[in-house]
Amino acid sequence: MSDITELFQRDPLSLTTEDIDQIIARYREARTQFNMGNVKAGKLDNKTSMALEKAKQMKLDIDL
Amino acid sequence: MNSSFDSTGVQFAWDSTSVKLAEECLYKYKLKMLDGWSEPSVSVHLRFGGIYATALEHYHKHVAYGMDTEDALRAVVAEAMVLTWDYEKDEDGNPIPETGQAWNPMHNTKTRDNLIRTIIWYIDHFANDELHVVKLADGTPAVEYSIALPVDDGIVFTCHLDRLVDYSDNLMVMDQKTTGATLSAAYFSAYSPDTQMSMYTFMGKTALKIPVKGVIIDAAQIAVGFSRFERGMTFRTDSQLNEWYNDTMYHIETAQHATREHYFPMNRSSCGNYGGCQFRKVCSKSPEHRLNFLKADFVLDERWDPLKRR
Repeated sequence: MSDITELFQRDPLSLTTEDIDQIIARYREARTQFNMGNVKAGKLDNKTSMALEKAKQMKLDIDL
Repeated sequence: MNSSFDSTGVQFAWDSTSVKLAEECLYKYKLKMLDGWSEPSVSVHLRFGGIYATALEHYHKHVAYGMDTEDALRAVVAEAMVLTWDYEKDEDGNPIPETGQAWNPMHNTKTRDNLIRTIIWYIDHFANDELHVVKLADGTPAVEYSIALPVDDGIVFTCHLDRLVDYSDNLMVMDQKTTGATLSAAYFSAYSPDTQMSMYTFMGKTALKIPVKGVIIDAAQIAVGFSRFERGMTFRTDSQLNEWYNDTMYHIETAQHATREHYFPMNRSSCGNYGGCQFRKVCSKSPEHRLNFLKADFVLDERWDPLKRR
């Protein structure tokens, strides 16, 4: 069984059906955890927060 | 080659993106639509939103044509994984296996793994949906429709509809949005009035001849550790659509006139909208210096082409 990080680093044209199923299963598990309240939004580290603040000031962020 | 402009450079094919620019500010319309200036970072949002919308559109198309839902999910996840890998291309533009690397969007939430997560979570979230895809007169499911509709004065309206659905006996267009914002009533209220949603409704009614009532907006909030979904709706009456059509034709004619006259007045009252126009810094400079500021902060990209199928 491959680690999901390793699957994401692999050429996707080489992924098997089992690999895709493993990715889906991993995210379904994460969703279950989130719905149970075991996952929080996540906190940005200080460096990322500063970069985001700068991007905000530069009006770089848009949504589609 | 951009096919939405005539030989004199006047735009005749219009989608909601270009109409919005003409409504907002003619100088901005010139910089973006006619000259093709864009921010380098915009491509992150376009690519993320584009692959997300494509995945859901293809999922519903697979299911509408009879594919098992798990197989359809597997197919669109595999497709999205490929679309988020930057391959080297051969002479015909096809990806060369075992080359390239994963797309790195340089963004804190709109990342490759968050995109795959959001596709899977969305499909599971709405797995027991009461929405049914509408069948057109020829029996084909109304999924993935690019429409070009000639209207008045040689103008063509274009749009791409993800799917048409039946929701409690209301025929509605479905649209997908991704955002970093918290999903609330205020988020959805921004879609009325809104040119994109009016155009979708207008095109559904006029081009497909289906009595569309409005648009269902499935919005996904993309956060660091989760994706959250909310569904909102926006309706349009016939008289609202008539008003929108007349107003839109006015704005288009004004933009066409500006192009012929090479005169694009700024709408200075809109510079501060939505957190501030991206070109505000450029427009604040003296005209003779603006090109240098554009070159510093923007790139000349392929011009937006409303007739191009996406």
